[in-house]
Amino acid sequence: MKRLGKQWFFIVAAFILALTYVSFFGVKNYYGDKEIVYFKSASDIRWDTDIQGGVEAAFVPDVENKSNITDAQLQSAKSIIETRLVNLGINDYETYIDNSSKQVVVRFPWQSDEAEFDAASAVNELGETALLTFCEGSTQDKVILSGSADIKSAQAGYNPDSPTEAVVQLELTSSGRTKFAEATARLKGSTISIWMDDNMLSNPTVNSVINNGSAIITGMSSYEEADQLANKINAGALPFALSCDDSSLEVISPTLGDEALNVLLLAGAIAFAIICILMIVLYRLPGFVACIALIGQVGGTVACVTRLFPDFNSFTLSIAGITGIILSVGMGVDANVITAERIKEEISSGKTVTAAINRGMSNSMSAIIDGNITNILVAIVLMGAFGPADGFFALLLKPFMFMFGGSVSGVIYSFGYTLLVGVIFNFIMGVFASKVMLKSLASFKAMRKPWLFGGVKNAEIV
Amino acid sequence: MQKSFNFVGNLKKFAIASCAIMLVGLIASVILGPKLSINFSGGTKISYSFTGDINTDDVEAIFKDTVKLEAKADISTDISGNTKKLNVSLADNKALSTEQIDSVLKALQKKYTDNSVEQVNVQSVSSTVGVKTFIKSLTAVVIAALFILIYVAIRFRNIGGWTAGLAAIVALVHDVLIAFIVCVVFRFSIDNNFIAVVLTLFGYSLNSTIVAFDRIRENRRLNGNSSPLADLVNDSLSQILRRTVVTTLTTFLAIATVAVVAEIMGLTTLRSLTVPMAVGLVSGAYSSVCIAPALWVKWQSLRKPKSGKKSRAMV
Repeated sequence: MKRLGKQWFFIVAAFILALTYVSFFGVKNYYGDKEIVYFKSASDIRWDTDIQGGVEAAFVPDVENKSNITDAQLQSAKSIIETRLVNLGINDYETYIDNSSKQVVVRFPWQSDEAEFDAASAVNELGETALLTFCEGSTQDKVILSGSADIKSAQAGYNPDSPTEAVVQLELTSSGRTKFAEATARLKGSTISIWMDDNMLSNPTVNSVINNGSAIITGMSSYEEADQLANKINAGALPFALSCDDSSLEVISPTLGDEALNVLLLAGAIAFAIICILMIVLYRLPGFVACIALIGQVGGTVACVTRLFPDFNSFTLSIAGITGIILSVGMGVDANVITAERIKEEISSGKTVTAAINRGMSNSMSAIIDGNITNILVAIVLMGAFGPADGFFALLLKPFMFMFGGSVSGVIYSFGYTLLVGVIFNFIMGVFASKVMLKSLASFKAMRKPWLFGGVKNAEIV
Repeated sequence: MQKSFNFVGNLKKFAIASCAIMLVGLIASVILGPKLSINFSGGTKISYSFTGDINTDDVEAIFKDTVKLEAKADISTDISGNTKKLNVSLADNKALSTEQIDSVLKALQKKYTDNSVEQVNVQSVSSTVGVKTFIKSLTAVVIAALFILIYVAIRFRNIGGWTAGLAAIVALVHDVLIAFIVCVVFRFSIDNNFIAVVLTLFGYSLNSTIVAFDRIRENRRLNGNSSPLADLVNDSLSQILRRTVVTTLTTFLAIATVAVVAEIMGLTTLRSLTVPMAVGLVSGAYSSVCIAPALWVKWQSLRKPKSGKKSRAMV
């Protein structure tokens, strides 16, 4: 039977340990006082309010007569704010309506020493009306198109006439299309203006009649700006502006308790050590390989939570997200246990070590694949149902969930995310990397002892 | 040769045991009533300003003594860091009367004479997880179950995939119900932790059951239809018994460690996560070995009553 080169164990193990080291400790460099982050570390994880505290902001509608505010308006304000939070990369928020004082209260994770993310300005942005209007001339007096009744969706892109210029492409509703065609026919040669609340975004001259139901907004300084604006338009306009003054913006302590994070980290480390000891005691060499694979699985998952690169926001890790990791690690343990047991079976039926490894691995494959794929299905459904409405999985699920619109639940979404990346890393580490490492180790003559794989003397072991 | 246990023949006993636990649990749930967290039920939030230090556990006790309500207290400071606020949430849809609110304030001021406790505001709040979200969750669960059913039906078509998929879903519902009962009996509130537990058990139970059916599928391929269905299943389950025990033990110990460390370090809020999860893990292993495969045998034999061989496999 063909064996794998001896060097492969060391190459794979070194790669796994390097990946895990980088995802836990990051790669940073100092130029004088300036810190340059190449890869983020586990300490950059954004933890949920339950674990590390956050801010609470109470938004009060900016209207003179509050008794005119209906429950439906407050509800829609709440769901628009939720979509905006997700667009800001904040998945673990809590929002509720205070009916007695007609305000919308938002809680989201934030640490007071967080420098990159300015809570106060984020909160101000959340309260903006964000009403997009098209007007005649360069004042807001004569409105042509207004809000979601006329504008169906927005998307960032590049100007077809000058491919380096970022623009926002708009798709109009049928009523918007009629109005826009009529206005562009009437105003040919003069200007129209496009406004976000009270800010004029651009003031183009109408050259021809536009009746294909689309429009573009130029004047964006970058693709990012265009993307943010498109997100804002898609999230929809609030029925009224919401304001939040400093006295109603509060720092809250972790609801689980002040020491929650440290306790969780300690408990996790001890639990992981116990898993490793058990695996090595029960399965010897395959158990040892399983430990390296599990370390890689956790390292890979952490990298996907911090998003490793400094340009991406960290995913918010909540208790539900942590249980997603626990489940995927549990499945990783299971994959390794199944394989180790199958190898043991082959060895006790009298096969050579090399043959037993090959047979054991191919026999365990179907169970591992089916178990993991069903969990991927679960993760995809959860992410699609409870993630941002324009996300990939949400579009995939649209035929099944169309009646619910885009409500977002941070808790379930965060579980789906960690489960999905955890299971993918289980495939990479628990299936592929374990296989390479074990086969490569079996190329050493000293390692080809049946005892190391649970054979012969194993009778007394439970 | 490995000893073969009779899992299939004992389906009746297992089913009676499971149903009994569930019946008792559900009756208990109806009597005790599940404790919903403020996220799910809405309720009242009262905030007080204060100076110095206040212990939130003591505040919760004061609420229990004076108005007989379970309260959750936490402390916040405003963004400038100057004023401290004590926030108390009461998960109850009954609004508190003004007298009740006053009596609590008096009790707090009496206990904390030096902390100048003043009431800032009282809010009646909506649930953050509304009825709509709940219905949406149920739909998502049904869709996920449907996808699983289709996947299992295709992958396990050689051993009657639809019945295997249905049996897996029965096992899954079993484990989620057990976790729910644990939460109600231990008086844990149904909150975000509970959602996390349910989702985890969903995946765990599913994986366990699939591993069991995988071995049955493999043995069916190797042995053909020569042996009775019940023997085939009993042999398969006995072969994977060690795996089931080791995996369950390892994950159970890991969760138990988290629970113990959290208790020692005083993080009691984690109980509502670790306890139902630990129980659910055991239940997941049990249902995947004792319930799902035996149910499958039963349904398979009902499906093809003509075959003499199969009917012998009936329980």
